[in-house]
Amino acid sequence: MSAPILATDALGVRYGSFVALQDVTLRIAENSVHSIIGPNGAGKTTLFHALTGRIAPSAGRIALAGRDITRTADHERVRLGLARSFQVTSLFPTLSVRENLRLAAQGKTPWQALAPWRRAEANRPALAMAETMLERLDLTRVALRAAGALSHGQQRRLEVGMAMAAAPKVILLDEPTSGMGIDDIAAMTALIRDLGRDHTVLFIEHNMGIVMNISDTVTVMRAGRVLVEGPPARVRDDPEVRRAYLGNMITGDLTPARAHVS
Amino acid sequence: MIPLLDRPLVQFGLALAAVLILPLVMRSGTLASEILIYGLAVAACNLLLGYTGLLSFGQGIFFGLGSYVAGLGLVRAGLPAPVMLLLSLALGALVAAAVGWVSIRRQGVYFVMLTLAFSQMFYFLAYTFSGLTGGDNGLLDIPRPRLAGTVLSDPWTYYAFVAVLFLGLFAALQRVALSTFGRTLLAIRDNEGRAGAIGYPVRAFKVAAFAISGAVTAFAGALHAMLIGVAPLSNIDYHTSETLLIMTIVGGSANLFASLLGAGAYLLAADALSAIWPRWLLLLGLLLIVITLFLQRGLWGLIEHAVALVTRAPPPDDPAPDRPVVTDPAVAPVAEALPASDAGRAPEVAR
Amino acid sequence: MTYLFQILNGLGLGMLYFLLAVGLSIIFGLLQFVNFAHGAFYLLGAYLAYEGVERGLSFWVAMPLAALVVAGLAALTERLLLRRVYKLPHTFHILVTVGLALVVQELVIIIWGPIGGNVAPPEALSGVMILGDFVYPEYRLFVIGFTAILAAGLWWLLDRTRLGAIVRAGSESPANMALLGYDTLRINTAVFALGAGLAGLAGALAAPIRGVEPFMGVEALGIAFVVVVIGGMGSYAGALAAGILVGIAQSLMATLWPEGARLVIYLGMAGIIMAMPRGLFGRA
Repeated sequence: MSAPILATDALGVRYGSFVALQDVTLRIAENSVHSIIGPNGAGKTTLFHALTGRIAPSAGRIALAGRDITRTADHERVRLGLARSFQVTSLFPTLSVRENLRLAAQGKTPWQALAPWRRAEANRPALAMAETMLERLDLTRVALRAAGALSHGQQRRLEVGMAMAAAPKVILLDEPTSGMGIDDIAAMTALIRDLGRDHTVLFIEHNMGIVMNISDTVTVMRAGRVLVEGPPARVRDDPEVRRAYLGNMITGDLTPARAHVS
Repeated sequence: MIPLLDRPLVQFGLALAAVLILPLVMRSGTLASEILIYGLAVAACNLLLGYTGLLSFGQGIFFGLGSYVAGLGLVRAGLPAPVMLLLSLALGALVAAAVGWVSIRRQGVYFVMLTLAFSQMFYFLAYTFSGLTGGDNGLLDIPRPRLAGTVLSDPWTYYAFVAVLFLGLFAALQRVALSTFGRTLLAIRDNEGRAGAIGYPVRAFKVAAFAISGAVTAFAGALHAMLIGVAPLSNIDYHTSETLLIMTIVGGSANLFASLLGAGAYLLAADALSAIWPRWLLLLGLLLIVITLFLQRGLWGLIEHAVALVTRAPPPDDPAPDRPVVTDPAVAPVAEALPASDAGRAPEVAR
Repeated sequence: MTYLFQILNGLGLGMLYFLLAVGLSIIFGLLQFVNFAHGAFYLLGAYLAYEGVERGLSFWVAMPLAALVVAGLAALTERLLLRRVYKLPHTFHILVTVGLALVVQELVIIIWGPIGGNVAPPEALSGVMILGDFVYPEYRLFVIGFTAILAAGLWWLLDRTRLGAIVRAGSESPANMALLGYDTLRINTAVFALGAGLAGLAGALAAPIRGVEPFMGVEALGIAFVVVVIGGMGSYAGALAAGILVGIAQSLMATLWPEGARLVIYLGMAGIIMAMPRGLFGRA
């Protein structure tokens, strides 16, 4: 692999005496679709928190495009090209859908927003990005509706859209299809595949169908460590993985349903 | 459909109307000036409460500070009034930024308690450094400003002076609220975590909000000192902070005109009632309870309901009753009222 | 030797602060409710005791009666009013309890006038205790002893009884209590009444020492917040330790630097919030 766009070295996170992550070393290839799977409590979301700067790691290092970001503040990482969506929908509920997206787009140049006299229209790129995202997410119809009033599926799309609006190099999606119905899942899968074309996508998923179908690489985690990593086919057949998932709820199909399209 | 009453021009129009109506219906120019002065302080408080979601018990610090700046600047340093007023803005911003910077390091109730603690500490400082502040007596003999050769000693002349400044700062605060900065504050209020996650240095924004709020509050404090001729210790008292918050919530934290409404209602009621019944605070206490139970949008909410009745539109029913509805005709960041049912509703045309 | 006098004063004061604060601390831990009316319970307790004694009741009757009446009124208020407010943002918790406090304060002035009054300590305790050179008022010693017994009783209630376990568990995770099937509504009312009753008791006990006046609730509220924050919200031990700490600090300041008392106390509160946000005994 050429220089990875995102890399961690022996990353560790502990809450008091509880070890949430231990010795996690990852190499995420540029423009790849990389999924993180594992049973509940494996530390997947904690990994995301550490990668995005929401929590400070207790050990190890993180590098984005070769640059050490271990101690960089969360909002700074967005500027450097790292954005995420959340497992539990986290929007601005009283603001309109369009405004949610505009804010997300503006977040790449936040210091512009600190000037109290500038009107929002002054930042045309942010407005344009919001419009583009509205179309791409099929949310134009509800552009003026309060984000808190959207249906669950629409909210999940907006959730991902807000990460996309920052035009990041690496986008982290935490269980993007959680709680979605069949139709919404299909739309979301298409969206992620589409994203993978010109972004690096790192996503956490429980739906094995999606994982096996669109990932270039799969990392399996258990109890805060990396268990196995490799292409979907290899991971699927790994006995350790089967053992890790025994007794845990998984959705979707473990057998190959469609040929892997890159 | 953007609610008519929330359009910025309408808001300013209401403020202007209030400024023009007060001299016609009131006898006391002093009380009228006080309404505008407190209106400013309450609007500044609302910038923190309604727009940023920060409940600050420290607004009295900045109000009192402004009064002291007026006293020291005009009497001891002999500064011209405009210079003194600019100084009050600057010092208010500085002190508020410092207080805010420390206080925001904690969240929720602890943040509130910190501002409360600061309020008490500053009161103590003012009391102790009586050489500077006059201690219990305060600073006396604060003169009215001199404009075009005349001293503004007549109550209504001073009112005119205050009115112009009030409208200017009101418009400035509107601009701030509608700016991309103000809209980011709303996002921080709604979901601070996400605001940080999408790239905003949340602390910097909160400190900036404090600075602006402090500046305007101190300015109001300076105007107040010139109005009553004294910079009293009570202006920096915890009670002032509490009263400013009460005025903010009574008026309604939905927009800036509501702040003027809150200040006006409180001061007029206090003036009218305290003459008839010294225990009028009992009624205020009951009003606060009523507002909590039935009128979370404050007096402004009453107006909204009245307008809704008249125009037979559904009253605003947004998910957060105490939140401002900030609108911008060009970009319309905030949602329309939630429809009663989705069926049969034509899709909104994007503006 | 003079310091012993101040320290004993401080201890007595501190124990009263503990009674005042422990209720507020529990209420906050269990209900996540910021109660700006807590000082009003203190005020009511003091005035009810005053009224009882004025009407010829023995202090030994008036004092506990005052506490019970305050607890009863608080229970009523919780059921009729505050229960509807819990789900609203914190701003409205503060607003409604500030309103309540105002109403109570004004009612006190309407009924008893703005000046205030004195409550004589009971006959049996109206003298002084003499130990060699050292002289100390009997009533104040009683307060220390009595509140210590109450503190022990309260500890027993929280630590050894089922109700106590429920309250402690509820303070840790209120959501779980409902899930486990406990009647959270009744528990909330009971806890609120208990906290208010203790504050009222503190007021009644304080009355013979400091007299009664309509604004004593405001000062009490401020102190209660300081003690709860320093000790840790939801912590019994914290309320005790911080109460005594603040009481002794205040007492010593009264002789060393009276004007600085307020500064030291609020500086302490701010310092704790910054350095140990959970307070001395708060949960990590």
